[in-house]
Amino acid sequence: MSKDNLKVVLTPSLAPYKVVLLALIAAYCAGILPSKTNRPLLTVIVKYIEGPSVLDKNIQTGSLPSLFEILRSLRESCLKAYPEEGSNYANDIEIRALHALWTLQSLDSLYSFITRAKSLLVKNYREGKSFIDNIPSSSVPKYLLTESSFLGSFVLNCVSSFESLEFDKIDLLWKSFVKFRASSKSIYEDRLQLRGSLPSDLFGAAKDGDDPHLLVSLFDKLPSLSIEAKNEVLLISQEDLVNLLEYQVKILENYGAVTTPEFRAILNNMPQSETGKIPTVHYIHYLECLREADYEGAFNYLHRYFDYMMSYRRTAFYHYALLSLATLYATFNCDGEAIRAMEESISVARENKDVECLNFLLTWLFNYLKDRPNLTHEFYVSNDQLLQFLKSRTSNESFKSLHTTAYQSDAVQNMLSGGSVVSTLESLTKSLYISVNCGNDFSSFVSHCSLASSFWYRAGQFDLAEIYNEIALDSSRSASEQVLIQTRKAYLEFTQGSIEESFSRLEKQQKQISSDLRLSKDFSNHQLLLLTEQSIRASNYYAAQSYLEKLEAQDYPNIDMQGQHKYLLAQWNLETGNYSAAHEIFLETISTFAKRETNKFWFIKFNLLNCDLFLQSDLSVRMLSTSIQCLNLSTSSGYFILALESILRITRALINVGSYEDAKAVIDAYSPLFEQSADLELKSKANEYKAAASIHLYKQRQNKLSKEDKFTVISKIIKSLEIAIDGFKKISSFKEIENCLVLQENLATLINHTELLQHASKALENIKEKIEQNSTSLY
Amino acid sequence: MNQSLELDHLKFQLREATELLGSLGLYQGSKWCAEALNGIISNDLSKNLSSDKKSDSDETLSIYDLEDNEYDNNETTPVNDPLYNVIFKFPKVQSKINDKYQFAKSLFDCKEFDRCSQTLNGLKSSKCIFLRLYSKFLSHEKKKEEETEGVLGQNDNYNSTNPSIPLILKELDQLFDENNNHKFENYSENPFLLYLKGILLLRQKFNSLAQQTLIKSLKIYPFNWSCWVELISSLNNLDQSLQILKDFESFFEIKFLNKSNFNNNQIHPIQIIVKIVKIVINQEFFQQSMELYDDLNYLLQIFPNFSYLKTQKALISYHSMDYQEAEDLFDDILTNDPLRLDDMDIYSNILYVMEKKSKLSYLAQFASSIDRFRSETCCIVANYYSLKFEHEKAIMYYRRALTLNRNCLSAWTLMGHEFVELKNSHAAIESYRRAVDTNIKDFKAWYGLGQAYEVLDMHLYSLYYYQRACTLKPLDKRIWQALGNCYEKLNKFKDSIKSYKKVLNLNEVENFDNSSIFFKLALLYEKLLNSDKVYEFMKLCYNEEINLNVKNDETAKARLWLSKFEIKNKNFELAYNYASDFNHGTSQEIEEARSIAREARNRINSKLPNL
Repeated sequence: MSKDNLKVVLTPSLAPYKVVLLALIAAYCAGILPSKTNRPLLTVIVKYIEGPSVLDKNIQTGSLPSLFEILRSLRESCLKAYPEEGSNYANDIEIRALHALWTLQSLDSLYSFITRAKSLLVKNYREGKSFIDNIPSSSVPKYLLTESSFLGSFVLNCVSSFESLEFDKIDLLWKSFVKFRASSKSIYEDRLQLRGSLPSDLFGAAKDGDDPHLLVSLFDKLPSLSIEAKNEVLLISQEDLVNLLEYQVKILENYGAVTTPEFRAILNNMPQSETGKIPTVHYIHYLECLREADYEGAFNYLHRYFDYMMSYRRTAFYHYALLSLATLYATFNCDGEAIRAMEESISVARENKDVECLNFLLTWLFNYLKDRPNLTHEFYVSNDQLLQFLKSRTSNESFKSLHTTAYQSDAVQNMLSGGSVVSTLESLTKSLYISVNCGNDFSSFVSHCSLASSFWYRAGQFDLAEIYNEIALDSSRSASEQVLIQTRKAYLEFTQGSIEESFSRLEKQQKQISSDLRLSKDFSNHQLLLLTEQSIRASNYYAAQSYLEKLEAQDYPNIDMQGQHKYLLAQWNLETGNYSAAHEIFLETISTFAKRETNKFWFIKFNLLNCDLFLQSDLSVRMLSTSIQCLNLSTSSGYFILALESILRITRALINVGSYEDAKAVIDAYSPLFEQSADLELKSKANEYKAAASIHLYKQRQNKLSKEDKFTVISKIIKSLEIAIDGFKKISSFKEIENCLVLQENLATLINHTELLQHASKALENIKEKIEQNSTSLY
Repeated sequence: MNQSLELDHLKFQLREATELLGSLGLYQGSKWCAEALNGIISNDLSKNLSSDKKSDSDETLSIYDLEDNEYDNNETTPVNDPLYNVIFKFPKVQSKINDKYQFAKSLFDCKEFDRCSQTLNGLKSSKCIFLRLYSKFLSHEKKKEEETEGVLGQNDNYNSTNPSIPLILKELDQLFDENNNHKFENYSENPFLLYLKGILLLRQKFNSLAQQTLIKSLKIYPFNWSCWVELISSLNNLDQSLQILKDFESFFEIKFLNKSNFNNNQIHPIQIIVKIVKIVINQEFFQQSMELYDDLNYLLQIFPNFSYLKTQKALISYHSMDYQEAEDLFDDILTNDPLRLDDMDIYSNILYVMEKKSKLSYLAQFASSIDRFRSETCCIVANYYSLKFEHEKAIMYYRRALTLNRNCLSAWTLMGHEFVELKNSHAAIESYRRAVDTNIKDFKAWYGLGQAYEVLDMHLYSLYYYQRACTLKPLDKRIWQALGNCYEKLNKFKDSIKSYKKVLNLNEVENFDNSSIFFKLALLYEKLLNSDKVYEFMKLCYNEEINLNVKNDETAKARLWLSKFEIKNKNFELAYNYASDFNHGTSQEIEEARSIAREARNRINSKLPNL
């Protein structure tokens, strides 16, 4: 049946599946089931009364339980409690439950069944006792429920909400109950070996001659029947729906789970008057539109949501409304509007003295503005000041989640501004401590792990970065978060030289992101960045150009992505000989987001790129001084990888100016660090420079060296070159291989080694051909 | 001319009436005529009618059964036959006026009554005048309804009158004035203007004047069923009703039937209408007679598929407490016309009385599926709730029924019953009062009023209402019993005895337990110090136990009384017999009986000679 024909009807509390729960409770109270079944039976009853929880291990998308699902849960629960006899117990319960359901043969019997459930209830223990004392022992039920008990209040709620239903709703309840149990008919018949006949109606007609067959047959003559048959009526209790919606909002917000088509059909087919009663429906639509990057839809639904909230006089929600609006604007990069909404939100939160919201707003603002250093605002004087404020204001017990976020923000700020490693680690440790003690808030812990992973990645400790990634992956239940963690893992693999693994990992994520447009955009950007980098390495400049163009068309607010993109663009220009364009990019970035004060990492990174430009312009001295500066900055901020890159630039500059001895000394001194680093490109480059410096030194000193020394030196050079060539081969860095082969040829000529010379020349020829081929081919 | 052609005549007249009443916005009347028309036996089957044989096939014929060919070019009306003269026809008007009328009629259909009335302003044709004044009346009725804010609400003043009525009546009177007569039309002889005047007078509570006007209208055009309905509702006693019927019969005989071209052996369509009216009146006054059944069966042969007539038959069975027969009849009506909700509330009453919960629940479901917002549906649902002891919800649905149709006859009474169940006598009294104000012939409402006052210990009031109920349904033993009880409370023992004796007369059915009545009578005679009669009735009460094997408090008490009486009269054996088998009663009574038995046995033993 098409879900377009679904008609959703809301009742205050009752739904067909609750009739099953009532039947199970009645069976439990009557004591007709073996007492061993009580534990699994009650587990299932409680589970369905409580509804889905975000703390469940298995996150499922919100949906109403079906009869099969309940029966399956009963079976699982029985088997869990009694692995051996569980199956028999499950059969017992199943038969009882199905029998109870199939004895209800008319609306009247359903009516009697539900209203008779009242007899399970007593007001309190005393009343129950006097009740039991006053009736014959043969008719005493095994258990009675007090009205305030968990099961008692459920029964009371069911009965009283049934009694408050109008007749047509009772009729609908009956019809949807009939549909609900329909699928279990064959199981029931199999279990009881009934064929075609149903049990007697226990709760219905008791009087002779009360035969409704004539009227039953008349239902077929109703002209509306054919129309109704096309419309599937789904009766849901408002109570359940509110719970489900809240659950759905949580899993959408936290885990980005996909809304099932069934649930989506329920939401879409709810009548206007009903959706007014439950504004959360609009919020779910908003979140979904946000996922699909449907700006207009998201905007409309967000407004609709808050309009309905307002109609319930929830004016206190105004600043939250504005915050959501700001988030919406920010998601779609409408910075001006986002800032305006945020300003208003902050002033309303201040007016309402909502400290929690205010802290959240400021945290949000920090994260938002850190990615947009060019945005002018008057919210606060400096990031440090804001973070100090947040750290002190959120120390309260009730703001734990915000408190950990404040420390994480502090760490981010430190990492951006190039603060000391100690202070970053301090903030990270504090954040970890709070998030671990934060109870069930996994999201702040996962974000801590992600941050720690980034930190260790920049610090060159790839193993630690990997460990934190693994922890985050294990702890996270959000699909989008997991995709991002996997992307980070792919970056790590890429850096370590496992290019194929890296891309295949990214490929595997494609399935996860198909439904989330925003995430897929982010993801494809990451993929493009890696592809560009790889294409540049492989001298495949046309392909790199096309990737860069694609990236250019994207509008992404993440500062690191932006930095990476600009960096690759400049590098591409450098490789293709557009030095002036590369220089322009350098100048532009250095004056915008990669300022020394605001974003030290990218400042250093671009300065190192500038060193490469100096190299091309033969300004080796400037290159030397700049790389020394970069080295100093990197070491003070713990940017280990950048420090290594600086060392390489220094070595290169020294080689260029002819200070081979110094160059060799530098590279030898830092050789263990390069070895320790898992960055294959840096390691290979270090070996290449080492070989280059050594060859020059050998040329100068060959006459002074003994035969053994010569042999040792030459062996070392060849070994370094081999390591370098192997490394570069692994990452397909053809230009660097060419450089290495040139060095090898030079060495062969120097030592008159014909075989080596021939080998090097041939390889050089091949690689040149390859480079030529790659640089002219389109993809 | 044969019987078949006579049926054609009836069909012709009903067809004309359907069209005419529909064109005037008298929809209920039009619907009734059309239902009757479609319920008539087909010409082929009618041939069997004269031989008084019932065809098997007509039982299965439903009004929804289709003809083989929907287009019939053969049907012709013998235009020259005087029998096919139209009984009443509005004079022809200019096409321009007709256009205006059509416009106004469409506005009327859209319930834009004021606009409809405005459109027809100044037009002199009687048809235009009728529609103008009728829509004016309806417009104010609608506004009055809107102002009341619900049934039994704060502004629900059922006595408030429609302010337009005096104005419309004044205008009608001016039109009827001979001096003002239009040159083409005599307004005072227009049946519909007379009908309108009749209903307005009824609203003004000028009952007899209204009846006269309605009778005049019907004499001119007897196929206006709406007019018959109003006339029947205005009748409040059977004698007067029967007199009016007689009057009609003789009038129509002179007017139509004694015409030279009419064969006296045939039945004129107007006679059939009068027969139907006769059945309805008898039904409404709870009459049962062989003649009535004969007439009904005769009509059902002519109209085998006319659900209205079947309903009347079911109602007669219901009033005679033959619930099974009534249920079967309603089942038949439902089978043939499942979507007809008219009078289904009565069916639900029957199921309620028979305590057929399951069937009633299905009926409620079924009616809800057809139309949730029909007063009949609400009454059915309310009856279901009442049977489930959900009296508050039942009241809610009765209120809803009344909101949908303020003149829903049974809802007021049934709501009164619900209030009684909730021990809210004051609200019950108001409901019952509204019921009798809507339908003065509703004996249940009068009876309910009596019961409500009885609960409040206002026996004189109670007596009055029971008497009203009794006038309406003199053969109902429940009312006589209630009357007897009331008289007793008012210390009118002789009247009480008369009432109880009436109950005994009505209970003259075999194997019917009269023990409680006998006991009551015995007690009443005891109060009158008539010991012979006391003995007689105590004995009769005791005999019920012996003959019918009924054991209840009354028979036990009678047994005890008799044993005491016999011991006093030294009939120890009899006393012993009465007392020794005493085993039903309070512990005190049993103890007393034992001591009497002991004493009697001692006395018997002491009389016996020594062995």
